[in-house]
Amino acid sequence: MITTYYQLAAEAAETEHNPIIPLWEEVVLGIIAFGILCFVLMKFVFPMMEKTFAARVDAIEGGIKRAETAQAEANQLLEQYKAQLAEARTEAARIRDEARADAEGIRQDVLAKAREESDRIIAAGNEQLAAQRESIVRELRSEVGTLAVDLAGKIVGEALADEARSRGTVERFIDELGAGSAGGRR
Amino acid sequence: MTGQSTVLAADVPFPPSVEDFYLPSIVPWGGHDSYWFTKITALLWISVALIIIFFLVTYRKPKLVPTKKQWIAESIYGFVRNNIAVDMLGKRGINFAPYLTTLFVFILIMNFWAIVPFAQISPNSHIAFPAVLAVISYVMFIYIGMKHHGGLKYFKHALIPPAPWFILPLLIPIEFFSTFIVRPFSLAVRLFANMFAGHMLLLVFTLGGFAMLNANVWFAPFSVVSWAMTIALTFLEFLVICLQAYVFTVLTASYVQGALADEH
Amino acid sequence: MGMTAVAYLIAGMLVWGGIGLLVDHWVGTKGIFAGIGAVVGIGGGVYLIVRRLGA
Repeated sequence: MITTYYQLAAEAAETEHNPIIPLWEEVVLGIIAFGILCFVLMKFVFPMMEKTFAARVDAIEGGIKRAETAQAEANQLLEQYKAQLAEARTEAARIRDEARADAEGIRQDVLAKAREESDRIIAAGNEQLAAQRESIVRELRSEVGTLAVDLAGKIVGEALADEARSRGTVERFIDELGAGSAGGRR
Repeated sequence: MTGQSTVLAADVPFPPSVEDFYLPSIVPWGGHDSYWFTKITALLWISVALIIIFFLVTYRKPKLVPTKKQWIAESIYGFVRNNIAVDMLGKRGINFAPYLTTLFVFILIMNFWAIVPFAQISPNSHIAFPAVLAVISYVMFIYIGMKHHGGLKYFKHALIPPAPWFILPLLIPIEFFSTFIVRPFSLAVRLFANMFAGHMLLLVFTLGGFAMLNANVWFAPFSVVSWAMTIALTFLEFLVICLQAYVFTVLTASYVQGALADEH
Repeated sequence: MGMTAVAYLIAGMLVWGGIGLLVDHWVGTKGIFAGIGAVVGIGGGVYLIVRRLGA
């Protein structure tokens, strides 16, 4: 069969062919075949591929975008927390400072009051002391007069029973004593 | 085996001629002047079917994380899209990537028949197919140029180079010739001639081996050398196949690039 | 790029060489104008390569 085919080929050689001149049947078939190929591939296959490429790019870029959004969100939260923390810290510091200031104030108050009190107590003591001295001095003075009269009566004896004289002497003595105390002591 | 090869050798015409490219038709069997269903057109349809089936099967349910088959299909598209279309046309290249990929895959598979056992002839060794593709590229870049620059302004842009007026009469015919006449022919003829010559070379060395064996049994070692050459040339052919598919696609892209280029 | 440059050179040579050939045919000379045309065309091609691809 192959042999006959090639014999036929040899016979076919009698009709001359020019390889540069296209056979119109082949041109027609070529156009149809290539047209079908183009139609199918360009309509059904390659646009799908472009879509897949786009989807792939999308998937990757979408993933990146999602990650970026999540990152941004986390960052924002972190910032927020930090801000809150800082706020709380300043608040605490403020409260502490206030408390410290209050305590200081209270201490100062107490101190001042105590000092006042002590001053007052000291002043009162001083006054009392002075008053007591005054009365003691007064008592002493009258007692010293009596004692001196007694002592003088005892020393001189009953000889000086002359009332008038004795009264005058005592009076003089007391006056001298009063003048002496007025001039010398007070 | 020996007997068969002798029989075959006896039938072998040497040297091969242009007529070896025009095999009798399959339906009707052995017809000489019927080209609707020949080995060439059969291979054409098989190519189209293979490509469509491959892409539809591998890309029926695309997933974000591709399976191995899907990855292969994507790599082919991605190669043309990124390395040719976007590389040469920038962001606009994405619009042209589907056509350029279709073109690339079609030429590649069509060329590939040149080294597939039992097929061993590329439909692209018939100028009709490269010519069709070249005409499509030609019409496409002119259309895109006219759309981009606005009608006839494109021709003004394409034909009138930045030069003093007195040299223009010298330059305009050259521009016209190189842009609007040489391009389609060079595209078509480059692909066609490469596949034609490749097939011719393989034929020469394969048939030459048989012819030598036929002439004298003592030439057998030379036949073996000849067939070894065929194998080596098959590898070379593989290189040419890929290169020509790439070159055709790149040139089409570069023509579109030229049509889209703005005044510099 | 390389392809475009080669295309310009060949196109220049072919176009102006061809025009020269026609002139030869009309005038009756034997290839003088074709030669001149080819040289001029290559010159034009080089000029175009420099203007379009250089700079």
